[in-house]
Amino acid sequence: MKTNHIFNYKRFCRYAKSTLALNFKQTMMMGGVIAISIFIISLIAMAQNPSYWNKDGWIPVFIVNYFVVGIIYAGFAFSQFRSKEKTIMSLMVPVTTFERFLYEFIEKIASFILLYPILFWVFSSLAVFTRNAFPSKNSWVEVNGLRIYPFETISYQQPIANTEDGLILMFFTLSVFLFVIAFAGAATFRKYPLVKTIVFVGGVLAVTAGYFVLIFEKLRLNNPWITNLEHTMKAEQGFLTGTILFALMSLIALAYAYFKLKEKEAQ
Amino acid sequence: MIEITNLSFHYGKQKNLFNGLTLSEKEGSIVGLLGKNGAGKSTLLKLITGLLEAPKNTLMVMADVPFRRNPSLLEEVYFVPEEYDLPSVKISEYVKAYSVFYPRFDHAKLGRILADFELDTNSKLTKQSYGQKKKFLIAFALSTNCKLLVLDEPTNGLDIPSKSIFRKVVASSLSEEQLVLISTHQVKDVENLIDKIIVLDQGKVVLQQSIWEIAEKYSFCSTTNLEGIESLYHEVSPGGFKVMKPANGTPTEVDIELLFNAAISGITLK
Repeated sequence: MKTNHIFNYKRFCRYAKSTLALNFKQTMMMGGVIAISIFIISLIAMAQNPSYWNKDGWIPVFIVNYFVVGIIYAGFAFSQFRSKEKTIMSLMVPVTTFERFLYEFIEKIASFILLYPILFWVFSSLAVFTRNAFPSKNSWVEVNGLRIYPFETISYQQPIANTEDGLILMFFTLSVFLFVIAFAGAATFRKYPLVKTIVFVGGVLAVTAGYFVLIFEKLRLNNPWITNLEHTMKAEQGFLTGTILFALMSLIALAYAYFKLKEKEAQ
Repeated sequence: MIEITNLSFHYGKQKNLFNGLTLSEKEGSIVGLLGKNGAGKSTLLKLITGLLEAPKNTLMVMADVPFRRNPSLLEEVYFVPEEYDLPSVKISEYVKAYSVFYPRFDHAKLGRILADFELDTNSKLTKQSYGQKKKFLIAFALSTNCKLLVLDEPTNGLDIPSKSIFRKVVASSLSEEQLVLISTHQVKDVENLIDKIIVLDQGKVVLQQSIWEIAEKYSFCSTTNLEGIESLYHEVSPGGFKVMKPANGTPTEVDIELLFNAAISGITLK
């Protein structure tokens, strides 16, 4: 098979350019919704926990927002396949399945992962300025008799430096895995892909958890190798194992999504 | 250009829509694909354009398997579906975005056809009526200069003047290297346009002939009395009968509607 039948850089650029041009408004609207959600959630978090925002109060907000928004955004992938009419128009565009797939992956996962920290910094900073512009009783703390406004722009340096080796990488691959699951669901289901994916994944998790409860708690089939794992395995080894596991599962889910896309029909 | 051999196809657990369908079409024709509702016209078009997967070794378009959706093939195939969903952009923006995928796209031709259809390139596609959108898609399809144009019910939603403009632009925009496949159940709309007829019925091709072949073999007339007429097929019409009979040397205009009804009534037309 010719490589031109899999990927052609010029053709991919043409496709990316035309898709972006035609979906520009929707993409901007989605970006706007993400930005506003960061801004509002940051303001709410600052109001609820005034003294720790720029220390580590923002971290749970960052993480929860990152996962929730990222999964929802990835679930919007392949929106052209939500109706038969759109599917026909899309499948007739002369690009390969891989080019179509790559574009969606870049737009719905890679660009989110790259842009989210920037968006979060910008809009949480905007929330900080807004909060400081309207000081209230609980928006300051007194240190040595001085009123200090605790809301400052966040910095990624400190948590990165203080986090154990390998944890951030594992956290990153876990997020990629979850986004890829939502992405694969969007490639598989035509209607309500995110809801169906969550139900499906929830079912798989419930069965898996039930299985382990059964063998460990009910049947007491505990193997010392497993029960001693928490003592024998170092934290870094655990993180590395998790990273490899999530990366492998992401690759499997991506391959599944690709073949689902390749088999897509306009029925 | 299109080679279909012994094609059988069904949706899910439904019964076969096609049973050993065989069909071959070369470039240089405008082919009318006729059939009753549910005969499988749209399905056949989707199989030809690779929107549905045909069983292995049963369908080839330009020596390629359409379902592989190779860009080299898709650059040469344009499909105007019966139902469509166009983005909320101006005509000019749509053209700018998609014309780049078709190597022989002719912007001047597009301009002429849009002018014939009285469409404004600055108007938004989503604000157009169903018929206007269809006219735009037909104009775009013809301007791509693709070797294979597939039009599914192209005259549905078109007003009467637009239907005659449609016939005019299709007839005047094509070259000998192109093949146009028009599926319709409104046979009057494609009369004087198509030069070949394919009739689908009960999963098979029951008629596949050029208009000239049909005109050579059969003649069509209206009469008040069937006595003494060697009728192959006839229908009651206002004031008498429409009759299809063997040709008697004087060619007559082909009555496609009568021919179609004859073909699906079970008469074997050689």
